[in-house]
Amino acid sequence: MSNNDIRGELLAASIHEIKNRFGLMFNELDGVLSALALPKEQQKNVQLIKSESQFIGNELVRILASYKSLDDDFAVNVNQHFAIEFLEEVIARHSYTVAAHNLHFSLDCDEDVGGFFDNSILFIILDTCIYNSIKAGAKTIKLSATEDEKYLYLVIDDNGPGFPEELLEGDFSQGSISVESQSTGLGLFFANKLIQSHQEGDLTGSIQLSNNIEEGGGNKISGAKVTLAIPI
Amino acid sequence: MALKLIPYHKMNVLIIEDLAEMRSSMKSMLSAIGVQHTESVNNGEDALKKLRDNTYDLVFSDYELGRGKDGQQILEEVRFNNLVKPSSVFIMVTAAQTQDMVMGALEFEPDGYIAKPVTLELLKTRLVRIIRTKDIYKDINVALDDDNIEDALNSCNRLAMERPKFALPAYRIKGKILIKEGRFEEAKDIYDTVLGIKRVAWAILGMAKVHFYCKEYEQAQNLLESLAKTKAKYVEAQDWLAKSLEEQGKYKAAQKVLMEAIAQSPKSVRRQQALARVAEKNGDIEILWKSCRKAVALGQNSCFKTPDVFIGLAKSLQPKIKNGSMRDKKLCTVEALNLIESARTDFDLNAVLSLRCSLVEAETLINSGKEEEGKLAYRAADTVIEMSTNLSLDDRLDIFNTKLQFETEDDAMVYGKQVLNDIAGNKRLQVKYYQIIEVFLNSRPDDRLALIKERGEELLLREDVEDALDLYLRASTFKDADEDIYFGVLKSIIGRFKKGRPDRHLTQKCDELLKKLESLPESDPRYPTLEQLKFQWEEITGDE
Repeated sequence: MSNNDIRGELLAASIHEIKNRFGLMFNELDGVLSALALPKEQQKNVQLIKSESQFIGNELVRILASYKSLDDDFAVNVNQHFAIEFLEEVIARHSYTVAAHNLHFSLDCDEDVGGFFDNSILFIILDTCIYNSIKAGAKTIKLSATEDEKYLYLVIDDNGPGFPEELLEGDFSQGSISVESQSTGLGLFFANKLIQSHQEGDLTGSIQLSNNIEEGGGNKISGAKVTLAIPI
Repeated sequence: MALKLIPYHKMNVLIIEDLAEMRSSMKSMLSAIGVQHTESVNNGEDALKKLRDNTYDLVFSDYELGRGKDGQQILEEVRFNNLVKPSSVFIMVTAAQTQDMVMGALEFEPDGYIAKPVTLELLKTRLVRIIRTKDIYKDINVALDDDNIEDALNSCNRLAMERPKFALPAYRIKGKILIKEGRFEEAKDIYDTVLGIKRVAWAILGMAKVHFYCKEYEQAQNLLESLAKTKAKYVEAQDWLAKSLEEQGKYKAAQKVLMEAIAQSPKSVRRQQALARVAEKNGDIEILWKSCRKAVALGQNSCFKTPDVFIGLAKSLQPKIKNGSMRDKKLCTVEALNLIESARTDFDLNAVLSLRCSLVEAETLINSGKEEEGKLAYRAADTVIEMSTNLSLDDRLDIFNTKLQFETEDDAMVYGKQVLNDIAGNKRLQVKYYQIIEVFLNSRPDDRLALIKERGEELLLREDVEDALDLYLRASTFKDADEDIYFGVLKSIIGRFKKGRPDRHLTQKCDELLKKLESLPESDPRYPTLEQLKFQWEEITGDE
């Protein structure tokens, strides 16, 4: 093994350990916090603690998956999933986020819409998008799903300020770490990498970014839109 | 699809949850939804008792249940013994952190998962979703409730035809039914069809199982190894991989796979039993002891309980009974005798198993110093030995081991030579054979050393460097290890490197031994060999 390999292995093993220990700690903390009878103001702090803990846990899972995605023999575990069940689960997993950030989720999806994907990977991608929206200041997030003959589309719309022009113009799939945007680009870079590992024939998964324009309001941006296309 | 009201008020619900607050919060949430009949238990054992005696429409099980069985074990027993009707709903409640691991279940799957923390809102949404999904398969499950296999299979076909989106899940159920019914050719067709559409993990596992049952172990192994490469943690796939390896006599590989699986998920009785089985084949007493101990503990009140691990545990205690401290000796003797007793009273033992029991009993007694009682037990076993014709070679090695202690050395060796003859060509059993003699010669160091040297030279001559290395390395820790043993270690290490299997620890060992042998006088007849080895070693290490 080269030094770089060893460095990578060391970090991965250590993050794995931290993730597990953190999970244990989080469970204990959750139990303790739930058992406490706290005044209203402190309830708010508790919600924030829970939400931030969950964020850290998700972040560690995401780092590990991103790390593994760089392996030559990285492969996804594709199974059939129905979009409504998956998206409901995404929202359910974010109950702490909702409470701590006054977030509102909505869901728009027909029962029969579905496709083939690795749901543990898609959870990570959706997390990346949701946390990006929160960071940008969005208060409502709409999840929706549609399909055509080739792709299943999972769409995340928010009511935040929209993506900056550079990000829409630039090719984030090439990966750029910009200090100003607080590495948002890197999150999407890995999300893109992860979704690209979903392939069927000559079709490949992809992420498209765009901004929603307010109806009848000239060119005013009404939020960001992320479209995940997963080949069927 | 028309929205039907879910008749919560008619449902019988069981909650399996170890924390009291969680139990009561779950109960009040369910009653807010309209559930009127709930029962709850705080551990897996009580849960299985309840499930055996009553019929529930809806079962919630926490995955983490503290000590004892976890949710996955409960589910395995439930599915294995049909404790919950196919049309009933089994839901696993998991912490988000453990979820991805739990959701890797392929064979014993719940109908759905609910992530903690469970809120009323979440419970409502998830419950409606899971029950409505289950409703799609209603015809199949109702047929299965009545054990009407043909109807169930037809319902699978109908669902696949009428709602193509649900074709794969329908085929999945169909495949499972066909395997259970032993209709492997039809199952193969189904999995072929599915794999032609998508390479989904459950279909790969299904196909591998079909190959396994058709005794096509190598094909099963290949499929399961391809599944392991995806790096997802499908522990069940590892279990089947180990089984396929075991059937092919690849016990070392099987042990490795099982140990990895156990590191991930240690609470499965059958996995621990499987590990005990292969560890015994490999003569790995340490692992035999660990896995039997776990399997005995986990097997309490389990439908997967077997006598083998009781006997195995008693067997693995022998080194401590023989050579341990006074305290260890006492405790282990009592434990071993209790285990033998339990094996005899709790199970209906066949001839081979009762023979194994008697052998271990005799050994326990003699090792703990009760020679006369041991002889009695041995004589009881001996009459059975003479009558038994279908003993495995592993069993016969165990018998040889006992004979060495109870009969004259000459008589025992007559039996031993016969066994040795019969195991010709089987490396694993030969290693075991020589280990038995080596342990027997413990009290006669000179003879032991002579035996090891003879065996070692034989192994080196056959270029079996791995086994030679094991043997010499073990011998090099003996107090009376001499230069010949060091030479043996050196030769095996160099042989191993030459075969392209270097190892950093061995490099150190080699340098260390060469240093030790520096004092060998030039007049020693082995001196030229040493010079030769040094030369070869420099050639190997010089390459780097």
